[in-house]
Amino acid sequence: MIKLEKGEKLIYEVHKHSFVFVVHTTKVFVFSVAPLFLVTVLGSIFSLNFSPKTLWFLIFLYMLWLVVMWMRYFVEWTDYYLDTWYVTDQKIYDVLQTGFFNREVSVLRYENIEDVTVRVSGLFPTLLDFGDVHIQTAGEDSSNFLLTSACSPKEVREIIVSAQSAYRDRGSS
Amino acid sequence: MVTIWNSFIGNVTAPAFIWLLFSVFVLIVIGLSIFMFRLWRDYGGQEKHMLVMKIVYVPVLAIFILLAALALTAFSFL
Repeated sequence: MIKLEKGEKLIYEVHKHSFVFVVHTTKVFVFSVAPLFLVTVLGSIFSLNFSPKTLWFLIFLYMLWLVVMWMRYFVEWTDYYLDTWYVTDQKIYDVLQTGFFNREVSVLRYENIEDVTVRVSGLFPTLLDFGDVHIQTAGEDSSNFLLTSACSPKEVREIIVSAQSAYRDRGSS
Repeated sequence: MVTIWNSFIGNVTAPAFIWLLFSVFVLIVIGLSIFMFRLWRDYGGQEKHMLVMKIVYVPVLAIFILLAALALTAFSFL
């Protein structure tokens, strides 16, 4: 969790949809069983006959592979879970986690928001209600904020727009 | 050339050398796991998620490493 300023209230946390994680899980599972499949197929095609020593060595290598895949799975989970937008009553924090060693935290103030766009494209995103939320900022140093595969993107857009309105109202009063 | 190659293959497939590589691998895995725990604790990992990490991640990782060690032991003694 990021540290909010004094008096700042968290309104909403935007996470990626769990479908993204299911896809990652499937990918890791396929890569985990692929060596077994490969050895079985190659063994039957080339009639390979492994000596006990070679067999134990292959089992050893496979276990190492499973360790790597298991870690990979949790890295994906970390990426999925820590890649978040925190919408507060004063600003939006964009936390981008890529792997273990890359973490980027950007702050976007409401006065700089020019446009919030939602893009839901494809069968699964439409059925499961997830998509990309894109915030375009104003000013010379304009930059774009993008969260891909966000949960309930239309709801996120409404929350951001209403938070921005409330912020402007507070500023003008 | 053939002698050098045979010597190289003989050395890299020697159980002692593989044990050494395996030890380095395990140390790297432990280091990265500790780092991942810290990442979770510091950046948004809730208590229930930390529990999942402790109950699911660590035991399964330990089982895989143990099985790898057993397989390497069997390889070393054959």
